[in-house]
Amino acid sequence: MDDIILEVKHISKYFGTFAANKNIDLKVKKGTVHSIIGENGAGKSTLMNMISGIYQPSQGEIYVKGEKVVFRNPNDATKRGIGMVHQEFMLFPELTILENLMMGFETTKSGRFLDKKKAAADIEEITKKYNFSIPLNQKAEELPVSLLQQVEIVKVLYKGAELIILDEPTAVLTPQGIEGLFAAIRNLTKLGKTIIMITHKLKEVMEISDYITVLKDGEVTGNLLPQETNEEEMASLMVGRKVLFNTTKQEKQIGGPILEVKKLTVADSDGVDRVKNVSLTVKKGEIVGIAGVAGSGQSELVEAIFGLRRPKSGDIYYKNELITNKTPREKRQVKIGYVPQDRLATGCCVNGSLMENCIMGYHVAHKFSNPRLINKKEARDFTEDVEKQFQVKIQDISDAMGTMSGGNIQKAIVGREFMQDNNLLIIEDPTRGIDVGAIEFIWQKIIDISEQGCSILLVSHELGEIMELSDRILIMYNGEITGNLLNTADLDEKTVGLYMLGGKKDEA
Amino acid sequence: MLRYLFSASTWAATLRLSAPLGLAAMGSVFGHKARIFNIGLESYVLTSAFFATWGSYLFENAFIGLLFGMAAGIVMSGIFGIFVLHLKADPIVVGIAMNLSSWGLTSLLLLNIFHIRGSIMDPRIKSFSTIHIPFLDHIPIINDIFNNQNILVYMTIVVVILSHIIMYKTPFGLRIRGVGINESAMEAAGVSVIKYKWASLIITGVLVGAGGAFLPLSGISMFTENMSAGKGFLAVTAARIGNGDPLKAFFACFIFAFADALSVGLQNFSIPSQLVLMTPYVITIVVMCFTNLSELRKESV
Repeated sequence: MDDIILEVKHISKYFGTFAANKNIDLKVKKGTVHSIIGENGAGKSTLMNMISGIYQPSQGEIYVKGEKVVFRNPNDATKRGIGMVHQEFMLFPELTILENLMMGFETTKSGRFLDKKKAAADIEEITKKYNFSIPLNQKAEELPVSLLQQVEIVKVLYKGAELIILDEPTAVLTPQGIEGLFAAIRNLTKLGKTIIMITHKLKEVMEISDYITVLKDGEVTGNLLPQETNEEEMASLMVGRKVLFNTTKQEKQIGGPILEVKKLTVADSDGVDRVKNVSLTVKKGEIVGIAGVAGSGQSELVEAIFGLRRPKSGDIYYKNELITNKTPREKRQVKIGYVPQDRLATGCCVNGSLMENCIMGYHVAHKFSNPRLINKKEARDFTEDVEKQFQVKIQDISDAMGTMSGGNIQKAIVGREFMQDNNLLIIEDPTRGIDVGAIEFIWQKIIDISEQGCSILLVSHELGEIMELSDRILIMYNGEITGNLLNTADLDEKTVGLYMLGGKKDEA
Repeated sequence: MLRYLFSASTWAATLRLSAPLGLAAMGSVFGHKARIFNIGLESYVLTSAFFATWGSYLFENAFIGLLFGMAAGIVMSGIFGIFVLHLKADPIVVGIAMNLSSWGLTSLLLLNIFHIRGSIMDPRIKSFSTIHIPFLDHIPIINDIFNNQNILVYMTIVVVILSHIIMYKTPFGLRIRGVGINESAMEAAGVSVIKYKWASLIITGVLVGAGGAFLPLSGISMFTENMSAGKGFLAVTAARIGNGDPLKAFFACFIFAFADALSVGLQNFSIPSQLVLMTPYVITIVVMCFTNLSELRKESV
């Protein structure tokens, strides 16, 4: 069969004794979109890294267009027309897009000097053919994520890729950005390119794929066709049990205002106003979600509220008390908790033990210390509570935080903040890059704690998450709150997405 | 006094003094762009100054002295590279260790080879000579500054221009810069990071070695203990001030050299000599403060 562009036979990969991939078979047809789905740690990335030459398989064979190949490095795969777009963009922020595209694949004149003109002409030909538009002379750090992703795709096309592997391509995009990406994918397959997409977003899989392969614990647990399956089946093949995506909500009492932000303006480190004259209120027991395209000012707003960044003007009231210029420590003392977006850099100390991390930030504010020394027993008890109630999987609570998976780290951080009976929680992207089982768990915990009367300000780049959890949705666009919507059953993602792009604005 | 300070002879001295710094800074620039923090350059300068002296002494030839100096630089880079790139040692610890041991090493070799302490002067040590460029004769101030300089000064200017071209106009330079910005993206682009780090280290060795060789071979034909006197540190500083840009780094060297030239001139006036000798270093700190001011502003919340 000559329309099979890639075939993987009985491939396995061992790291020490751990089998990341066990005996995997995969056939990818030319001109199709083939989705590989699975939880984190299911072996998707390992498989793709072998196909793109980053790892060498321990056993098994790879065939490209019916020919057996052995890739010793990514270059070998590139030569065979296989290109990978990584989840973390492989770009150089301080270089121009043109230099980014040329890197490692330079066009030269007289054999020595970079020929930027010719490279630019070649790239423009590609962008025209596949209908991309990217500014070649701007620096990568100046461009938004959706454009950077296009840059990555153009990069692999420029290197002559026939088969493009996209690793979690939609993780960083808005609904509109995702539509744009899917349009580009359809265009690419129409012109004969083949796409392998790694993802764990099932809705998108259904929309774009021609074929679906499910991985679990390094093995293929299903080969499906989108027209013959549904999200529940895929989820249960991924997790190995039934997954309910709908969290259970009970009727709850929403009380008076807990947090009031009045006309807050916050500048970033370059002095540019990122938050402009924002006012918002969070009431007792209410979950307020802030949706918006990444970089609309959400991070700066949250940092200002928690005290990590000093606002330029405006006031923040908490229980009718002015707290604008209080430090994070003072804010923790009055029971404001914070789950930061970057769990590894801001949320925890990777080299510290689980126990140290669990009392971190509360070692002074709360009960773990007498005036000078940490009360080890209290700390241990608390950590064990977190471990148990938040299902943190760790061998010993004195093991380092960094030994756990992302999902477990996140559960520990969420547990730490949730078990302090805080009155207000500021939560940023609580489920970013963690697997479906953990997402379901954390979502339910957020709902539960709000039902106990805790107020929550939830910032997420995952619109689905905001829609699922929030009682009320604020939309941030370009530093302003442009929408304030009650999350009722008839609110759909499209409407919110329109707000997120500044297409619609509440006059209220 | 001001007229003296800004006279053509001060500028000529500035150019002469900027040359060894400039060569070493060009070496440091390649390391900086490839994100190798090499504080050990001071030891490169001192060691290659010694070996350049020895090479010149053995063969009674300045050019062979220069080659000895460069070879010493490459060996120093080799030591640094093995520890830092392969044994994953802390570059600052390695750099400091190299700086301290090079001090002892050169004094020891001085004693063992030349049977002398302090400094060696010998007619067999040959220096590079100055060059007369006839067509500059008729341009007044330019002639005073640029003409009749040591051959190494002209070489430095060529090296600076070449460094700029290599850094920004060739695939090699693009890759060096890429390695410094994002290593995993480099690996993904199929470029060996370690290969380019080594390449940058070798260039550092050659150029800093040449800068070190400049010290004994630019006319004085002698080697003294601790002859480098902080020039390696200044080169690292210059590269950082210029953020790895060869032209900016050389400009920084020029400022340091100007301060140095001033301190020579100021000795004729009734200013305490200790204060005068401090000038280059004070200016370094001031320049560092100003170049980092914008950064500081960004970080303060």
